[in-house]
Amino acid sequence: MLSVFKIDHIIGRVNPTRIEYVLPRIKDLLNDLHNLELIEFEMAEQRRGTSDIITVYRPTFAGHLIALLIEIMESEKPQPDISIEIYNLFDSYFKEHHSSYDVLYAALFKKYMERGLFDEFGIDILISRLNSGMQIKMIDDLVHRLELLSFGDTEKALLYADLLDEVLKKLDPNTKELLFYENKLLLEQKMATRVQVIHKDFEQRRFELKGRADRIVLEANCENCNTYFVVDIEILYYLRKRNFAPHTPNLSVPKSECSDCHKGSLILQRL
Amino acid sequence: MARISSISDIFRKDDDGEYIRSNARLAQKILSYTLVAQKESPAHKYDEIFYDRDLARWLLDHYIEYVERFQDRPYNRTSESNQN
Repeated sequence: MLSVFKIDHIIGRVNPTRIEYVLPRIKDLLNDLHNLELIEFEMAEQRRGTSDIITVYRPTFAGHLIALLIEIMESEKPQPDISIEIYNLFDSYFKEHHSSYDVLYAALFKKYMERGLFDEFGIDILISRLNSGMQIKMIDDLVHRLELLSFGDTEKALLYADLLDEVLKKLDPNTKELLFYENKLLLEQKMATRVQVIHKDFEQRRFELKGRADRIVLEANCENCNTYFVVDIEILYYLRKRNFAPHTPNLSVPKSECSDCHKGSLILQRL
Repeated sequence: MARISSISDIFRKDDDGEYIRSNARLAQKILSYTLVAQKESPAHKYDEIFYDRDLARWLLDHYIEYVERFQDRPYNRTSESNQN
């Protein structure tokens, strides 16, 4: 972070110009954007041969990314140059961030770009996050831990699942294990708060599979014979099924076969 | 004016589609201006410096609230911040 030297102009009070009229509010906002690490203040410097010392500003990486996303949001036409610039920004971001999510998303973004899908899958997720109402305090809340997606469109969901499969196959085993484990923790924690009947069995199975990063434990219910089960399934299989939830009548994960009554009526929760 | 205290504040809207923070749109325009500064700089670097007065001048022409305010009538000489 650069040193901050903020030296205000003396605003003419006798005969204010329009600029001077609006400047205080603008400076307040620049301060707010600075607090969010979107704008930096820099060493004051002289300008136009005067001895005035004035503050200069510059956007940060985060500020530039948000500015580009605003440009895309406001544009009615595709903006391929901006998309490429955003991709390049992320490319440099991922070179400095190495969590399993970052590695996954670096590979996914590259795949999107190769397939001409970066706008659809890469930029849209960022814009939908900005417009979602979710709390995004700083830029890390926007770009870190991008969740695996689900879609309201079957074709898109299938395409995404295929892309994810392709990328996951090429991830190194350690990254993949860390990524699955992270997802396992998140999903099982959500499941723990929604278990309805067999709490002890759920906890027991979850404990037994604590070393299996690729499997998650869920409570499932058969709506035909009303039996509750604790099941464990592959995370990838579950995420793939969850992707189709928007197309089921009650937005639930598509049903599986019940091991008791053998009907396709076993309901998995949508976590 | 309510402060912008998170990135969400720049974008969040209410059920009627209105920005919750009255400064949200202006904050967006300020960030948009950084792209203008980038385009105008010889190096086209994204982190090109800019000056608040140049920004204000640009906003007077491109931020709809200012354009409308100064279009037809004389402005109140009390600065915006002091009116609130």
